Amino acid sequence: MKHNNELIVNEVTKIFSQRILLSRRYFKAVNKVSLKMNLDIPEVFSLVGESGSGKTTLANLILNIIEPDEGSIFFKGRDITKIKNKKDKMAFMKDIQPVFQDPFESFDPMKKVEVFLYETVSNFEIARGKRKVEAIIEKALEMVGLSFNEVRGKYPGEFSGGQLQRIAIARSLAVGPSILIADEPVSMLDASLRISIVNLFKILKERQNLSVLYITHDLATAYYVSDRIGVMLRGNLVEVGKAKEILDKPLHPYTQFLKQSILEPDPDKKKLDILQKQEISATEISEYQREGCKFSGRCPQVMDVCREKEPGYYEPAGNGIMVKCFLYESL
Amino acid sequence: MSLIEIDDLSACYVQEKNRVRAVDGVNLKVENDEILGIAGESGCGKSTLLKTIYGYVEPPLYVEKGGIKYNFRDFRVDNIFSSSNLSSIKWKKISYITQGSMNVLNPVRKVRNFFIDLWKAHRQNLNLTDFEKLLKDRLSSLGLPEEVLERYPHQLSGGMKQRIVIAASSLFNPEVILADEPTSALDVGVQLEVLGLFLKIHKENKNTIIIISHDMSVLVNLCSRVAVMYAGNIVEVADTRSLFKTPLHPYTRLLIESLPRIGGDKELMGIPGAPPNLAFPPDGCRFHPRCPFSFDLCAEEVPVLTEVCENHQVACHLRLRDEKVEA
Repeated sequence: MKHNNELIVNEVTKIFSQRILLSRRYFKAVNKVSLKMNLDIPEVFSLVGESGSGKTTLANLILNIIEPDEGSIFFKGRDITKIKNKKDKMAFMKDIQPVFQDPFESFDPMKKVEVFLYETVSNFEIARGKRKVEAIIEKALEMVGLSFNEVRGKYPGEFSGGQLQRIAIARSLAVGPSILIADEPVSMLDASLRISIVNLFKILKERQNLSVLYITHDLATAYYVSDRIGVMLRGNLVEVGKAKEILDKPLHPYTQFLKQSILEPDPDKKKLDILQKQEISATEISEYQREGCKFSGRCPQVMDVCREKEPGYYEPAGNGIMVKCFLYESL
Repeated sequence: MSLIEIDDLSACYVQEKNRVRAVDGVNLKVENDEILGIAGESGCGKSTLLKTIYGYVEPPLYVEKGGIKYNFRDFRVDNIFSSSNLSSIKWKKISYITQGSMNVLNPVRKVRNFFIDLWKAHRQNLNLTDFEKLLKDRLSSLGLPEEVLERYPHQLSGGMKQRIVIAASSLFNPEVILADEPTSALDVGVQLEVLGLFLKIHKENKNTIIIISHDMSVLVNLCSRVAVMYAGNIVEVADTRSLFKTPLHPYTRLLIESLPRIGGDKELMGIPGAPPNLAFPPDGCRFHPRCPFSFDLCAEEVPVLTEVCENHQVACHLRLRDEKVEA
């Protein structure tokens, strides 16, 4: 069954509620997001956006940790919300594996790290018998550039953050997934260590045919590693397409804003200036409650129509880059 | 006369049998009215150095040798570790923004109460009305809405909480502000605004700011001078421009080169390996096991921080070897 080897997210919406005294307000943490990844052609797809933009909620939906309120998610031809029996669930979890944000919290500090790897392999019933399990772990660690001898008998506290994150990735790889969902895997790491983890994704893509959904707020690493990129803003996917093209010449005002805010390690390109403007938004919820385009409160090119109704997707350049912005409606 | 003179400072954490020397023989002078950045990976002693500069030395941290001298505008502190009235200096002369400081606000009390507590502890002849006036002036000059005082911390975004803590740290116009990773937990857009806030405070009050970050791009945008720390030592100090244009220490160079840039299409390499365990640091230059340019001498002799050109100091045998060859 190779003909349907895809992850399809189809108009997915997730509604959360917030209670304030006796009233209750609803907001869409993920709003009609669609995206498609063909697993036969491995790629690194980055989901970027500020905190509170619904990136993690979308990841949880794809991992089937929470269920969507509207829309559907298909993985290899099956609707994942309809996977109910234990055997199918196991098979699904084997195929799609998460990597979490904080490597220090992914491991039990009182247990040796190899226990974590053993447990994963035996829980998924991939191999039985110590020797077979160890062979699989050895292979998984090799893929991330470590060896079992470096890891054996050590506790999480004895590793650096970068090494621990590698071991966490090795744990995901041990069950043989076809896609990794990496939720902010480098945000807890030093800037200099980030590149080694990101390079690892590149290698896994090229050598192991593994697709990666890379969720991050760091545009520079997203630019470096991804084939395609999706920019999220308060639950909406506002711009999606080829990574290099989008970040070299962003179309959506929000993407432009994100790109402008990146600091560069170059004394000739200082961006900092004393800010005169009196902005300061109240809270994050208020932007979620906004009618029309969620960026209309901050957008420098805002028009009347932006405040009234929600923009659709437009493809101004005809190169596959979709933008959710009225500026490109007439083009 | 420099504002802060750190003289041969060593500080260590005492574990059961080992001494983890997180700051080892650091000599550094901080001038008045400058913004100094401290760079380096985690586990290189940046935060410990900042803590000792603040005089916040509590077990298991001990100062082994050396001292820190302050030359404030109106008085001097010869050694902050033997000073008897530290509490009269804190907040008024030096303030310290700790790592993750946006979580210092008490979640069940309004932000106003946080400031009232500050007034109670450091009232300095101010009565409450004067203090509230000072507070409101400061908030409005920093562009923060006054209504934040009536909010609870959970109602505010992370960037807002960070701004409040920064506003508090500058409230009594201290001469020195120490900030430990003030923007690492923030989004890119907010990061820019928070760094702008530091610049504004600096311009208005002429404070000296010492800021730690593992992200070199933050430092290049904010600081006038940058010190690079590795395994408890300062390995390079220079003004920002020459440090980034002509980094002399291989570690500095690798730190800068490991950062991806938008528009760049080079294959990048991280720094191989990890910082050493400071309980058992390697002999010689501490960076030599990871250094792509190391040679015999590096494993034997500890390089000394030397001034190679104006305002540019480096501790590396490579540099000194080159000079000998030229001579």
